[in-house]
Amino acid sequence: VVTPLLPHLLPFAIGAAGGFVGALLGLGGGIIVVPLLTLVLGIPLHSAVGTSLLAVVATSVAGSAKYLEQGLVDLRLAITLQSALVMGAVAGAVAAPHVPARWLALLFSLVMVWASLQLFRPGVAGEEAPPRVRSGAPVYRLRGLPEGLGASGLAGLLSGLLGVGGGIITIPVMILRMGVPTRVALATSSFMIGLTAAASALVTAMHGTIPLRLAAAVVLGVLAGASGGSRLARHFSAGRLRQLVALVMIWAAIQLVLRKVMS
Amino acid sequence: VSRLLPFRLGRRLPARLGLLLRVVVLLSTGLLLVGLLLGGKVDAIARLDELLRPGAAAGDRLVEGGFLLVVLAPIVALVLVGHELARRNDRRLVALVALELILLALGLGIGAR
Repeated sequence: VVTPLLPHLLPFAIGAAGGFVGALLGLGGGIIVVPLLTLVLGIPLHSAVGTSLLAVVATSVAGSAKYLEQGLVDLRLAITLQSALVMGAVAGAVAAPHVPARWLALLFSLVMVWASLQLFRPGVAGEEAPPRVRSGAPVYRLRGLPEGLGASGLAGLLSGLLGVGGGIITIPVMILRMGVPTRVALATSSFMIGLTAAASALVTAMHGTIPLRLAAAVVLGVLAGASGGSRLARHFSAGRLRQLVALVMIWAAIQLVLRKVMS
Repeated sequence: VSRLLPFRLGRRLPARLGLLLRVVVLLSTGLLLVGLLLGGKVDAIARLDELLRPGAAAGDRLVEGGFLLVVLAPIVALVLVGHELARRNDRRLVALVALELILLALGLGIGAR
């Protein structure tokens, strides 16, 4: 029974690492899975992006199930921002195969550096009291909708191009510019990126760049890692871990530039 | 779509969507795991593969099924939210849901070409 699974252990471990760290830090995991697949397994960037998109959908579906039951997803806000997200995602996924891998690597490195800086920023992924929930929906005062729509469009574009969920852009904007409580922002973003990544994944799958068995192992790893990460979250010092992951991401961004852009 | 769906989701919409997504995750995890385990070694699936898609490796169809299930889940969730919004006559948000579904279809159409 175990023998057919042996070749998939490394992709599974990479997925588990992405899911685990993603669950602890409130990220989708794509920003960790793509560089690991490319740098450790030598998977072409376009294939790593497609694989990551499937992992992001799976993480979003699993995470949203929990958040929806807790009444933390603002469905009205999600539907509104999703329109810009989907528009950007479809445009990104259609453009991705025509963008040279070198440019894709450079863009991914820049997004990783941006994400690392966000992890150092206090107040974005910090703890706060749970928001009020009425009739299965959170209650708060929303502002800055045009900014949110713009950021969502950009997040969708990056999601389609790079195979990341886009939460690294939408979550800080929702919290800092739109007045959305942290937990509601995490939950709503998790629900939104599922549709975005699904749109990008379907378009990418049609281009035939997703290695199915590798993707299956990575997705199973991400789901296992995310489940473990959410259970063990309280045993970890989130602040220290955020800084460690941010440093690793900056190192991976430099490696991507050195190996894929400069070579 | 709202006229075609003969049921109400009401205030329990988020909880029901959560349950639906939980079931999808369980089913797709099972399909992906069994698909990887079977690999190319089970005759029945190999024969089915040969019939449906000549040259495809056995087990890959299960993996494809698992992915299809998980990728379609957010789209089904969007349709169900749209159905509930239409029942509440929230025209602005229903229009946004319709726009998102049209964009998805458009993206798939472009991707397929």
